[in-house]
Amino acid sequence: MKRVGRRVVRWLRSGSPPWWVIGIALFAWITLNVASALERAWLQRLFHGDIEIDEQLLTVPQMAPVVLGLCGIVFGVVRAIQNHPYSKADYRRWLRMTPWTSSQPLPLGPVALVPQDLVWVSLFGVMLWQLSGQWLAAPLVFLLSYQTTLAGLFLLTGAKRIGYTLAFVVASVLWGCLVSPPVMLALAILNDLLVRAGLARSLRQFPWDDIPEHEQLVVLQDGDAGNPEAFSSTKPKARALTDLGWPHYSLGPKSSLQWMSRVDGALVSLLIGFFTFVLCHIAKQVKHPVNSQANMATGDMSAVTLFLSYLMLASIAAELTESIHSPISWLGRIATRRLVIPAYDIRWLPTLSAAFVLAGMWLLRKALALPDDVFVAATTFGVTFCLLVFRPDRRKWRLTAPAMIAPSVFNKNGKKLVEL
Amino acid sequence: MIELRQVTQHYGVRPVLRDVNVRIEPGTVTAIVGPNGMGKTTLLAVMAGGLSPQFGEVLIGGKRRRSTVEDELAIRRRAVYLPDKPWLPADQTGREFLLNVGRLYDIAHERLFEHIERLLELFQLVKEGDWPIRGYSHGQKKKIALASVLITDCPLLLLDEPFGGGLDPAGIFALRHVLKRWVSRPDGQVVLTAPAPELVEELADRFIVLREGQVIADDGLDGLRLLTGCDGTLSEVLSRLIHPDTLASVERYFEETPP
Repeated sequence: MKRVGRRVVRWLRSGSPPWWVIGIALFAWITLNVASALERAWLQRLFHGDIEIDEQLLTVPQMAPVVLGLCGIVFGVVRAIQNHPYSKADYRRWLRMTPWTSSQPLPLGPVALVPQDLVWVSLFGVMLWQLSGQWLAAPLVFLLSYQTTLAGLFLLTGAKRIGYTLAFVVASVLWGCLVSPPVMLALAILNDLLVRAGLARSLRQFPWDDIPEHEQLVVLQDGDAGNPEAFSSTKPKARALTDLGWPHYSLGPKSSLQWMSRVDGALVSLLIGFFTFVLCHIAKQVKHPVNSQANMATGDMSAVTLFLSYLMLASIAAELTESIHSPISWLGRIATRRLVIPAYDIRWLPTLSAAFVLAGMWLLRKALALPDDVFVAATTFGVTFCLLVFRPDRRKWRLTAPAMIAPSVFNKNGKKLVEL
Repeated sequence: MIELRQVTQHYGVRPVLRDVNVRIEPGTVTAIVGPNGMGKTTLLAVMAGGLSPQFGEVLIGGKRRRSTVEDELAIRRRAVYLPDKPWLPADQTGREFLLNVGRLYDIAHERLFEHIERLLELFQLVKEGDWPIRGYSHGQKKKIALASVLITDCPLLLLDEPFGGGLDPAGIFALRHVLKRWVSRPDGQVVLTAPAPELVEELADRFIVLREGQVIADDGLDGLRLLTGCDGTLSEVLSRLIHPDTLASVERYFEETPP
């Protein structure tokens, strides 16, 4: 009996999520149960035990799907990345030095779902059912977050078409969850075929160099110092050309820095817009299950606007940390009557156009008369589209824009570099 | 060949370089000299592509800087720049740094390893070559920075104050000889700045003298002597050119000092 038990534990451990994920879920479940018992006791005491407590009055069981849902999202995300070599640089580096090929199983465990996952998701479903009387959300939340994360990984690891398809399908399934959760669960399970096809394609592209070969820096091992023969391409190459300091990186003869292509930018912004629409639609429906024409809460609308504004600020901050500065100060521009230097100032086009879109959508909000969820999604799409698509060709801009090239802010203050 | 046409550079309102026209032929060591704040570093940075002039253009080997991607990359393969305050990778060893710079410039591995050994020997850094750069002294950092420029094998070296930054006499001696030999190779050319004329008097074939952002003289030492009518050292010639009143001021100071 003991031996069987040990075998079961070993089998479960070979496909288990990290202990901290299990720990968080258990902690949340126990806390919710204790809170629920306390709430019942408090209500009984309030009414002197005279009445049957209506389940609708209890707040804890209503909170349970949200709290456990968050745990399910974490579980899905972690399950997708925990064994994927792309998400662990050390693992990837080690794996590229082994004779592993994509036709073999991954040494740290599979990325694709295995029977053990069914056990863990069932356990999660039981927890949810015990607290709120529903279990369907458990596999749905897990599968959708797992598939969304993998769609993102596919985009980064050479399986773009499947990645985009999977992401759009997941968003559609999420949208349909309000209509028919069981059908959507079936679709999410069917999606696993797409996931497996994507994984096979993505792993075939291994090792997905995030830093192109010619932009990698070599690290010498002991004994390699004066020996060109000992140096080989299998040595770890962890650091990028950007770590070469000033001015060799900024003014050196290689500059292949590429930004997301315009097609990818358009597709990603479309995806973000679609996900925003689905999430806003769900939020609206959850708050107003009867009135489909109801408006979103002002707070929700403000939160989205604030988020988009932060996105634009982040875009400006990212520009400012680059090592390419204006060739002349603002005072100098005024003095020389060259307020705009088009070839340099084109860098601000994404942020400026995004700000125009955001302001324009708000000004035209009444005239457009769009439902709130559509309005928020359209604005989010517009802003992200401007930020991702209206960028100048980075390589060309870095090499030809009239600019002042200097060490970047990070290089100046970081510990990576020392000043002479 | 380097050619600057009507280069004018502002950082703010005040122009740092004004209508600079210079043509530097290969096979020469050219020193840009002048008092502090007169635009030496700016002129070199403009040549190096670190600064885009507000007006005028810079041509290197017949190609205009920052005009097209292909031309700019071609220029970068031919010209290497060392600012007076470079930022060196703290956690790489000197040897790794040189190796990585060499790879950046596509130097063949065998040649690279062999050249690194010679450079480390030249600058007396053989032992220190395997230490992380963060542990280097000020002068050793200067030496490894200079070595990183020489490892590129670029024919055109643009060096901002290469003899400063705590370089010891042995380093100065070695660098002078290397630069002299550098310009004897085909297309070899060195442009450098120097705050103190004594450091470059013997080395440079040609001097570009800047005052208030303008080129006031551009010639060899003999030409400058003719121009000023002074047979003295470069320092004295420059004093006449840049501060004609300096000698008189010195004389006046001592005349007026009570015994």
